[in-house]
Amino acid sequence: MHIPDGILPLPLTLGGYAACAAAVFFCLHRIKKRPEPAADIPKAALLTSAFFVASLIHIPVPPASVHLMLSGLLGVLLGFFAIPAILIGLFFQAVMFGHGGLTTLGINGVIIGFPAMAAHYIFRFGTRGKHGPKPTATFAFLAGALAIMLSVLLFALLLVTAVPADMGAAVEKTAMLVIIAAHVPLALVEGVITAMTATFLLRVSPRVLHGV
Amino acid sequence: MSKPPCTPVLFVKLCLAAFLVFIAGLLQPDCARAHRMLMQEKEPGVLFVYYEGRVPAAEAAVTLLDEEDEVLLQGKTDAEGRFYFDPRLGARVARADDGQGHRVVYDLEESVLEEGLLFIGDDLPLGLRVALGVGAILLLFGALYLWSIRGRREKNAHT
Repeated sequence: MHIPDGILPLPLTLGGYAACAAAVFFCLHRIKKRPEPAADIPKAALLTSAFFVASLIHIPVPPASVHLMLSGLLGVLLGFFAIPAILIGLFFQAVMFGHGGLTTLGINGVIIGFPAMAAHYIFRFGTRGKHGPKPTATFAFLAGALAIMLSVLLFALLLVTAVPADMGAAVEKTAMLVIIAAHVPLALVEGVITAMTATFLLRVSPRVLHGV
Repeated sequence: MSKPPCTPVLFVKLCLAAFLVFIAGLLQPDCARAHRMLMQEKEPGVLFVYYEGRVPAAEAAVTLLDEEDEVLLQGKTDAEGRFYFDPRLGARVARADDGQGHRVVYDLEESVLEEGLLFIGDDLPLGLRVALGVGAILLLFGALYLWSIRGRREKNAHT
């Protein structure tokens, strides 16, 4: 779900960068207001590394192929660190693997980072005052799965409206439906991963989970 | 002054553990696949369009362009990801698009792919690129962490 260099019009790439810059500014402002702003940096480092490598873990969903993203997990565990962490991960994915691109870094940040923030709010509001295993698992699953579905919807919307494809409209529509359908199993997998990680952290270190 | 939540030593240990897990994961070649789209001219007049891991890109739209970027031929790859064309057409560039956000541009004269900006390339093994990427990320956050706690200590010392 990475848009490569050279296929988006310039105003859209600049718009993506502007939206990401505003989001990063907002996130850093919120992080700075915390009593211990550096407390989550080690956690952010590990999860950014996981996000970076996750794009190599391929899940065959015939006829398409999808890869892990972990954006929902980053949103749940990192909160306001998620968007800066995702942008750093996307930068290294573009440089090291050729996934995505540097001109599309901003727009890819919007596609993956904004749903991660949505996942953060879903989890945070869902588990407010209810830190038991059941609400934690339920809302972590919802956060992980919905982050993927929101990303794929944003991605499909962008491709259909802004990217001129070398194929007919009907074929492109079919391709979009295939890609949306192919991401449903991925959303379930990521929901389960997020729920398992959240319940594990709830048992061993609740502060890491609910201290964001 | 409150105790720092994670000491640098613990941070290094955690990073090392995570790094070993990633490397172990990458030793399973089936998992180390992604789907960047690639193209190769197998022989004159036959293009092979595929994803990383040499998975054929079936039904991808292929466009052949001349030096003035005029379209010479359009068509689709077959189930094996192959596209056949007449090499006498004089095409300079081949472009493939699967309609799912993957696109590749191939220079038929130079037999090279047009890659993204700053892409380090496929010359380095994948494992090494992963190690470099993870190392760079950890270094970046490590520097940020040390800079952040140092700034906080100085601030506390002044107050």
